[in-house]
Amino acid sequence: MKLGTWLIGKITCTLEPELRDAVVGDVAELKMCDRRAVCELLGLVLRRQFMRWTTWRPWLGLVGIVLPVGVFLSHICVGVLSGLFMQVLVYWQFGVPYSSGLTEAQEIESLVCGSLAVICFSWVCGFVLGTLSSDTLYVNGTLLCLIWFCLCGPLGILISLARLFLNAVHLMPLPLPHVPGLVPEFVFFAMVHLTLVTLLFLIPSLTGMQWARRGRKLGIQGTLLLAATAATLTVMVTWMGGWQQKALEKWSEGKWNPGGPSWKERLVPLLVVNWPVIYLLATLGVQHLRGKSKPFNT
Amino acid sequence: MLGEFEYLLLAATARLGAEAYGAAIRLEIENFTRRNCSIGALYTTLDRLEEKGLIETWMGSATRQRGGRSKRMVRLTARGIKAATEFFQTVKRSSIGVPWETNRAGGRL
Repeated sequence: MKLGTWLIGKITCTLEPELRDAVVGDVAELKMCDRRAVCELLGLVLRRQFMRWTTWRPWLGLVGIVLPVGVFLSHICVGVLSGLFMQVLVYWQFGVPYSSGLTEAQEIESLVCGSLAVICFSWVCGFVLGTLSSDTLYVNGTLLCLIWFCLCGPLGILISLARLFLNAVHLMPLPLPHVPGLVPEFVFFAMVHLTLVTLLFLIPSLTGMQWARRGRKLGIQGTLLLAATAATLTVMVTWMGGWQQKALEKWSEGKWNPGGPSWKERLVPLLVVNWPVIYLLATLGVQHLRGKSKPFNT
Repeated sequence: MLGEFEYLLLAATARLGAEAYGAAIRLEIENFTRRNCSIGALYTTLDRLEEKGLIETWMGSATRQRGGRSKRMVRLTARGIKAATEFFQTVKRSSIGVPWETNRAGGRL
């Protein structure tokens, strides 16, 4: 396939099917050269995208979800990931779980709960972003992925590696797993990190966006179930966040208080990432008040 | 009040009649204005005019010449005809007594 044809296909895939048919047909009928067609179609896509940003919805998605929720969710994701990553790394190398001071059951519970919370919030984040304005999802979704990329994606890995390297220089060399073959250890580190963070954050949020883009709807029961799940996970994660601090105090027989954020400080970022759920509930409430019992999508 | 390009588009649609669709309107505008009319400008203006209720559009038949793709057919509505007529009358009225040719030559009568 020619590059021009491929580019035209990629550019026009952002348009509605009928409009795509009309403009690609016009390009063929006018016998436009590929370069000119690409420029003109790009102009059309940009003009239409610009016109869509003249309403409040895409801006609410950008200012209300992409920036605050994206940043806080990445922060929470990295927090959960560090525990999960340590477990994977130690189990890979020594065949035993890493002991952070918690009991084995507590360790599993906090990791599972934290992971489920990040998956749940990421999905809601993507879904609400898509329902707010599916037409501008390309921009807002890309920006959300960019935040993911910088804070906990490949760029985040580089930052983590830099931190690890600095720690190793100042304290002691950290044992990294031995991976047979030519694959360097840092590639292994990066791959485990990237896989986990992709599973926890990227895939759920993209799935949520896809749901909204396809016009799939959450009924009243679905919304209430989602809200109940998010609330439960918020409470659980806030509560479990204090376990390690207590475990260390207990281990040192009260002589060492490692400090750390209070439950209120742990709750604030979770409340921020919960606001898309509150938005869904509020929309449901408004529709209920207006007497609309049909499932909603906007 | 219409914009200049909106008027050109309505005029081209009226002239083409039943044969008014994206590519034909574009060629018509380019022929009369001798200026380039981009796909972006054409289709965003069509969308805007349709939102204002000045035109109606629907998907027409596909032809081999278009690679089997459908045309976006365009038709003026009564409101569109009225808006274009008002625009034309306004331009005509506001042009009375204005010697454009002389002004272009340096303002001498």
